[in-house]
Parts: sequence; structure tokens; C-alpha cells
Amino acid sequence: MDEHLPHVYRFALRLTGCRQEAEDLTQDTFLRAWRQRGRLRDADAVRAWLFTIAKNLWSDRLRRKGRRPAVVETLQEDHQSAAVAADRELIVQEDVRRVLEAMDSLPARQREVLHLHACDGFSLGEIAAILGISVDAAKANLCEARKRLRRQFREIDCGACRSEKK
Amino acid sequence: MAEPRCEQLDEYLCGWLSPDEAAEFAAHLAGCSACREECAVQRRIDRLLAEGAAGIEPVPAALADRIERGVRAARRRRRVGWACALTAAAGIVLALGLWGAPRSSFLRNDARPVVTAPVAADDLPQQPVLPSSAKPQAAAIARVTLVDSSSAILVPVESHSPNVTVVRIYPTVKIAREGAKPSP
Repeated sequence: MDEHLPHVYRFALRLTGCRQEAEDLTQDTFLRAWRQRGRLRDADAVRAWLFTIAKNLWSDRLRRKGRRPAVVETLQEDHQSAAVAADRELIVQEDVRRVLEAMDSLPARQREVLHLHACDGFSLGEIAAILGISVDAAKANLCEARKRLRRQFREIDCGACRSEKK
Repeated sequence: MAEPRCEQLDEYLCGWLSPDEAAEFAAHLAGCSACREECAVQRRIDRLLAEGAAGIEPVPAALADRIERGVRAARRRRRVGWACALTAAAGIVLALGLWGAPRSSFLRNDARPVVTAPVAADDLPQQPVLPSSAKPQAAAIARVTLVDSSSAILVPVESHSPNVTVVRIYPTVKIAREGAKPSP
């Protein structure tokens, strides 16, 4: 569990946009995985299996609540806790924060696809299986997400440069 | 990013192009400053996402314990559930056995097995009483018929498991003389 917990938790954060809900979703994911452990066919695909469970659980909750996936709130507490690091580290952390903010502002499907690809290194086929979509849809969403992210990141970068010059 | 070729940037960076297509895009990249800039931004983003997210979004310390507790509780519930199910199953089997055994088809009146065997004189009615020192001898061939199954005798037998009850079923029989005394 220790190996997969950080990955599942961060994916849950991307899905829910809320730390408390991400914790609940992560716990429920591991509980369901334990109950359904007999269904796991390929031991090498544990992480993808866990992500599929998390995604299904979250979809069920959204359906029950009649809620659309919201734009993810920025996780300020986490970001602020990183601000005690050294200068160089601080700059990197600030860049990470910007990218995560940009990613969290993407539409839900693009955000999920991008997270699975960029943060967890899943292939298009694995992403399609986890999210229950076609490989073509996964690819199209990923390309669009990357384009949007580049655009947003450049805008943020330029804004930061302008404010530094002032 | 004006050329159609520029649209292949993500496919190139993700390694989705065929070797020929990748070579063509690489040639295009050498002459397209916009694509080179996009490539640099995307590689920076990829690096930040892959390496940075883990550090900036740590797992809450108590979450692992919470999950462990949840799994332990689920395991306990499952054990209790199995125990209840096994007890219930044993009860059902016992009840069915007690109810069904005397009524099973092999004991029904229309299918009574008939056995013939030599019987000792002691077993036959209206025979003279033999001296106690004499060995019982076969006095006649008797026909043994299982009588009504409802009059079977059930004798509980001690078992080693509290969840299992063993019952011996002794069907009652009717003995009737059939033949003459067998020759010695």
C-alpha cells in the first residue's frame, strides 16, 4: 500500500480538488481494492487498477450528488508549507505550484488524462482503460490539455516576469 | 505554430510518431523557432509535473493509519460474517437431516427393502426357551422388512465440534418367518 498511496492520493486530489474528499476517496479506494482483491488479474497493473477504482468511486459520488466535476480549488496550505525551502528550491516549488494551478483549471477530463500521463506515466491505453474512454479520446484530450497548459504557463510566466520588472 | 506540421508537436514529444514521421518532424523543428520554444516549455512542464507534484502534495501522515484501520475493521466484519454463515449453514443441514432422513425414499413404505437371513431361535416368537448355556442356533429363515419410516429411532452421538451434531438413525424392522430351519 505504501508504494501506491501517494499516487492514489494525488490522483484523488486531481479528481476532487479538496484534501478532505481526496483522503476519503483514497481510503475508500483501498478498502474496495482489499474487498475485490480476488479480481486483480495482473499483479503488475495494481496501480492502474487502483486508479480505476478511484475514478469509478468518484464518478458514483458525483452521480449521487448530481454534481458536475468542479474546477479544482488551489491547495494553498500545501503550497504554503513548501515556502520554507531554500531560494532555488522555492523557485522550483513556485513553478510546480503554477503548473498544478494551471492543470487544475483544465476541464475535468483533460485534467485527469494529463495527470495520469504526466504525473504517473501511464500509457494512452492504460489511461483509456482507467477512465473508461477510447484511446483516441484519451489522445485528443491529452493533446488539448498539453496545449492549454503551455498557453497558460506562458501567460503566467509572462505575468510573473512583468511583475518582477515593475 | 502556423504549419500543419506544428500540430504534431505533442505526438512527437510523446513518442507517438512513426520513425519516419519523427525524423520529418525533427527536420521541421530545426527550422521552426516557435516549435522549439513550445518544446522547451512542454519539457519544463513535464519535468515539473513528474518531479514536483510529489513534493508539493505530500500524503497526510494519518491517512495510511486510517486506511489500515479500515481494512482491519473490514477483515473483522468479514470473519464474523463467515462464522455466522457457517453456523447458519450447519443449522440448516442439521434441520434438513432431522426432518428429511426418516422420510427419505429408501424408507418409504412402497420401497421397503426386504432381506432374508437365518435368524436365531431367540429372535422368533412362540419358540421354546433354550437353556441359558446353549448357544443360539439358526432356527429358520426370516424375512426382515423395514417398517414405517416415521418410527425410526434417532440417537444423538457425541461429536468433537460444537457446530456439528451427529445423529444415528436406527430404522425399525419387522421380522417374519419365511422358511424352514436350515440344515446344520
